[in-house]
Amino acid sequence: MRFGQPRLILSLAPSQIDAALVVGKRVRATKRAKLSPAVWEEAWSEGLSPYDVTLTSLVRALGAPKNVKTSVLYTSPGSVSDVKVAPGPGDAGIDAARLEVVENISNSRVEYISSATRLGHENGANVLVAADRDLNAQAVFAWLSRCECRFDALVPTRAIALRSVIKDVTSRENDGAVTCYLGERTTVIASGGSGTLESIRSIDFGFSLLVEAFARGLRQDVEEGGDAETCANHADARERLFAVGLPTSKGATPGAQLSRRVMPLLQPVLQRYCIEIKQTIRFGVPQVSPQGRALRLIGPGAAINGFIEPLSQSIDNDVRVDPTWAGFDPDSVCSALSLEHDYIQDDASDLRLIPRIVSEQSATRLVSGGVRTGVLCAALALTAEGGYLYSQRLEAIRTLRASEPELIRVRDHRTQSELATAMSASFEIASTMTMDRLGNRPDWFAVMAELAALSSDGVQFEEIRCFREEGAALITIEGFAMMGSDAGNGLSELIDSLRASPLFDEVQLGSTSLMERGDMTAKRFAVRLLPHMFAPRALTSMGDDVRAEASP
Amino acid sequence: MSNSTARNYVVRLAVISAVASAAWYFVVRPMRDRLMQQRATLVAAQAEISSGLSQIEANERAPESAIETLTTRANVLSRLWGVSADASVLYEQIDTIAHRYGVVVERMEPSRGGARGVVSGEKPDAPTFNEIGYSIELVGPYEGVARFVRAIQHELGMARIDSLRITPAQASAGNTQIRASVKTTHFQASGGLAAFKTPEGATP
Repeated sequence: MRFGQPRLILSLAPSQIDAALVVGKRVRATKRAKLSPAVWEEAWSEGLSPYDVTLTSLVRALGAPKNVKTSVLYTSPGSVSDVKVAPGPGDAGIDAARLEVVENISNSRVEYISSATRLGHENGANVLVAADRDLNAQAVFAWLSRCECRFDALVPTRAIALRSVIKDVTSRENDGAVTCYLGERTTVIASGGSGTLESIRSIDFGFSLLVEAFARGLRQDVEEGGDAETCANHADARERLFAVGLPTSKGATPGAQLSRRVMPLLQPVLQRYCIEIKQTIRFGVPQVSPQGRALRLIGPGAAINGFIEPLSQSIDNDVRVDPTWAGFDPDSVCSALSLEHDYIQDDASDLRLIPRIVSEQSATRLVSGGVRTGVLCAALALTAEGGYLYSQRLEAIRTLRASEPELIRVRDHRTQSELATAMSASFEIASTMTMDRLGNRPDWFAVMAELAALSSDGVQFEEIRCFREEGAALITIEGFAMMGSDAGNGLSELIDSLRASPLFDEVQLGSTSLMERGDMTAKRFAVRLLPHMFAPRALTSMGDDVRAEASP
Repeated sequence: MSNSTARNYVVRLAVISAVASAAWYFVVRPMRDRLMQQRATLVAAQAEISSGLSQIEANERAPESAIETLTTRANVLSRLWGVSADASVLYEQIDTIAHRYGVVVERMEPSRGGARGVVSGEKPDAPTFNEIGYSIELVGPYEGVARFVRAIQHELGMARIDSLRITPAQASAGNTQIRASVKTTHFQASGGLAAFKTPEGATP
């Protein structure tokens, strides 16, 4: 549905182009340009370029905006529209009906485009198919582009006519009458009613043949020296045909002379109408009663006077013109009874024929749009991921910086601890090796002081030797102790004193022998002492010697 | 869509995909790697902080205090080594000590030293000790000799009395003189205490 935006509806026929400017479903302005049917085939072969000026003028006259969306209802030399019974449900049935129509007209050297839609009655049992040569559709597309109109839809007029007739027949009560649509280039004969379509046949001719015959008769008149009433113009012939109707043999009419001239030319066309309708009713329409079926005329041609008599004689039954169509104005553009009006009111987008170039453009636009969207999405995704990663990294850096003081403190502590450990180990090694070299030793000063204290007149030391033997210190003392009552037991007391001293761990009295010393007797002795060992003071106390120093 | 158009779009798509992939590979992927690296660094730092803080709390004594104590001790040890480091100074000091305590050094000669006395360290930071031995003949009062021996042991740094022989000497002016023969060993230390030389101002 389109609201607000104006669009152009063109009806392209051999004799005229009808243009209507539409907003929504309302017709704002209409215009008709008359064409010469003589150049119709030539115009198509030239890609409709002869009609460029005409269309441009129409668009300007209607005041349509530039590149206005344009739908074209058209009749072309190769277009086909038909109604088929769908062989199956769904899209498969539609495709089968479409294939059936296209196969009938296909030519290996010509490309066709088609559209198809299910009709609303009888649960979509029938499919309306429209098809045309792709070249024709491309010609219309190019024509619109040249005239600064934007292609919107391309629908064969016959397809619209078929749809309108079916809608008309199925929407009325079934009174047994056969409906005949008399179009300009199409004739449709259908029967049915009350939502049912019994039969339908479209015939590829219309009252345009009557107009041409009429025009031919008029031209003959001009060539013969001319009747003031005659005119060679096709449009005039059409106008006159609708004005005076088909000439009859009865009575004298103002155009009696004209009738006499055009009657022989119209007669074959009328004959064809009669035969086609009669044959269709006889063989194509179910007979519901012995009296046969009446004929109901609709369409623009129904407004031409004089159709009833020959047709009723031909089918031998009642023929009547639908009152709605009796007053049809052939000069009105986009009137309420016209096919253009039906197209505007009904959504006929499903009947659109799309030229391959447009399909390709749409596909290209779709792919191009997809590629652009993909690129945009990829760029967005990359940017988003990059941004997320960057923000996360910044967050990590911030956290790391915030914890930097603590980290420095911890690392400093660890460094100090490691240094302390290394220092401790280094000092331990150095001090242990120093201790090993020095070893434990006696307190020589204290030992000498103790020995000096134990020496007396009765006990004298001749030699004191201190030395190390296998790491242990030994002291040997050689001396003599005076014998006699005054001397007492000097040696025993010495040994007892030595043993009592904390400076010696072991005291051994060695050999003793008597000797003469002056006029006294003395006992020579040898004592072996094992002094108490002390660790070097420098490495233990780190200060002054804690032991008392006594004078020897 | 025609084949050429489709081919054109396939090529475009391939180029765009390649550009997008390259952009991801050269821009986004390194960013991800850097983020992972940063996160790993952060996790490691947090773990380090956590364990470090618990270690700080667990430590009863600050490492600075321990370093100070150890430095003081190392200085003492270093001074101990320093006294006996120079052989010529040892001669003078022995004479000085003898003079101080009234004993006479009659003879003093090295008993051993050089390569024979070198003891190499077993550990990388171990000091090396060079031994110098002296044989000293003394004459003097008993007390002086005792104090001399004590001073040798306590004032000449890393020194050891290996043997001592005391015999009576002639008495003079009422004082009992003794003759003493002392064998000493002095250690000249080199190296060691390397850990104390690393930090500035901590060198003993």
